[in-house]
Amino acid sequence: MDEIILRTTELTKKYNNKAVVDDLSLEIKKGEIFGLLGPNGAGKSTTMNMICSIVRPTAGKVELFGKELNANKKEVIRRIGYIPQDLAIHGELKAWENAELFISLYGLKGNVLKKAVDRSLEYVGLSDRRNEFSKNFSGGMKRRLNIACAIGHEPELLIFDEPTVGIDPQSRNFILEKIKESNENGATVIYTSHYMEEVEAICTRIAIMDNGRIIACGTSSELKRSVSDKQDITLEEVFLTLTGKKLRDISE
Amino acid sequence: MIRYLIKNNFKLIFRNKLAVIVLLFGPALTIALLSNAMDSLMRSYEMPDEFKVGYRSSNSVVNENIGTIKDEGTDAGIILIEYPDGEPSELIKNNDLSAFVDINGSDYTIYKSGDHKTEGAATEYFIDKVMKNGIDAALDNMAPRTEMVSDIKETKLEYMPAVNATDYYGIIYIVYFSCCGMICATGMLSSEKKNGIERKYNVSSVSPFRLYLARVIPTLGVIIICTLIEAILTAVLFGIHWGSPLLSALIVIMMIVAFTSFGFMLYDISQNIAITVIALFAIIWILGYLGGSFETYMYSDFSQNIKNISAFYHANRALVELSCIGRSSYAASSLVFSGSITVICAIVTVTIEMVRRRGRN
Repeated sequence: MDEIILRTTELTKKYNNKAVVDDLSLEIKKGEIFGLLGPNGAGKSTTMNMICSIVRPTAGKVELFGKELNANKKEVIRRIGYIPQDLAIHGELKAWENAELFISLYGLKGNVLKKAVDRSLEYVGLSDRRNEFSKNFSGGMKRRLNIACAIGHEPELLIFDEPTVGIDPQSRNFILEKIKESNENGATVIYTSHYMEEVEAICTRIAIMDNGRIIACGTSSELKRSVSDKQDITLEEVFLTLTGKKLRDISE
Repeated sequence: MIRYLIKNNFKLIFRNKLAVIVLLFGPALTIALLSNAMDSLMRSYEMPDEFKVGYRSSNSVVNENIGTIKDEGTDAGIILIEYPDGEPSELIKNNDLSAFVDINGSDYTIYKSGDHKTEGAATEYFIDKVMKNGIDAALDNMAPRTEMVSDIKETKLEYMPAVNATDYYGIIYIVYFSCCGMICATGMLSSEKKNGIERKYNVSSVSPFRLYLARVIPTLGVIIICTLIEAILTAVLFGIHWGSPLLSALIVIMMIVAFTSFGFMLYDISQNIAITVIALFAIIWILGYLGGSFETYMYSDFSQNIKNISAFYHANRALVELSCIGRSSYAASSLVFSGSITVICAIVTVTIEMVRRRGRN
């Protein structure tokens, strides 16, 4: 039986009595690249934040690596790599200093830390720019550095929250290749994005969220078959069929 | 693991060049620009060589030592004249007295003439010393009052000589600027806030207390280094004289620790750097105003009770007395004051952070 890395049970988050995530139950198996799609305000980021222990659920529970998150936070959190949507790096620190600071948060030190910093910067192709201040980096380089800061402690579960927003195609392609490479090296990946083609290209299983609930879940071809018999239907058409074409103007 | 956090936060603070430059050269620049004004201000408090002060003493610990006290007063330019009867304000008016002291037991009341404010302040300072010396002697010997009287006879009064304006304002401005030193941490804090780095700290095993230390330690490091350089610089440039360097350094460092902790507490409550800086500066200014940072504490019009609530009063008075006479009974109260502020602020900050993490949105 495949090992379950993440299990959420009836996970709910309410703000002012309004459910942003509503009774969400989900299982992600070891070795998957799991895509989470949804329109703005669907509850993707809140779900990610609850999984990472940034936000406390109103109800329900999160189990990571078979252990309840709240009771075992210190232990399980070290096994997660969280790459937030916003660039969480210091502009006034050099690339290697940023990597050192964030990787050290997971308990690495001395030579082990130094090697982890070198390996992470090498992994995202920033070794030769390690001594430059990150404020001088392009958007794509900052995104790559953001990833380097989260993977240095070799986490078993990588959580990417829209990691390719606002970057050039080369950087996007590089990041997607690296996500696949991490997965081949044994990491389980959760990936949210608005770019359907990205999700279709790398994810082994996809869930579509709307109004805080998962309305469909399966492989790309299973999702396509669930809405149409047409052979050439795209994932975007599946998405629009399931979530509707109405504009979602959501305040942050 | 927080040593890497401390190290990199230290770099972030030092790379906020403008704040470090203000901290490093602010006091020297202020002293240079205002040295003439400070001299004039101090000169306005100059007193005649001698002035008359009336007194009345009933059941007082000083009765049997009045001869010694009168001699000490004469040395300090204060001619003490006894008036057993009469209304103090009438006595001041009719006898051209600068002040009148009514001593009753171990308490005393000073009546000051509106035309002789400086002399009144000098009298208050002198009598304060007289009474304190009596009480200190009694405590030292654990003796009843009758014996305490004989101790006073042997105690040389530590009447402070006139303070040099450069020494006074130089010392006070270095303390004042260093207490505002948290401004140097704004670069680090705004970078954390702007880039959502606190969320990454949450997705790690760093506890709120360790995170607090990782922010406070480098901030203190930078402020203390800048203050040390500043003290050396102003000593060389303006000849500012610090008495008892180790004790003075301890008092200044404890004030820095106290007000940096206070600043971090304000930041944790408000979660806003602009509000923190404005509130911190406003509170420090008020405490400095009460505590002798702008008008010398010797001649300010505030009541002693008001002065006593300002940490700056204790620190300023201790540092100035150390500079002038090499010792101060305010050193201990200054250290207790700043130590208490540090502990209370640290506890409040860490508690707020823990509560916030537990009940996170």
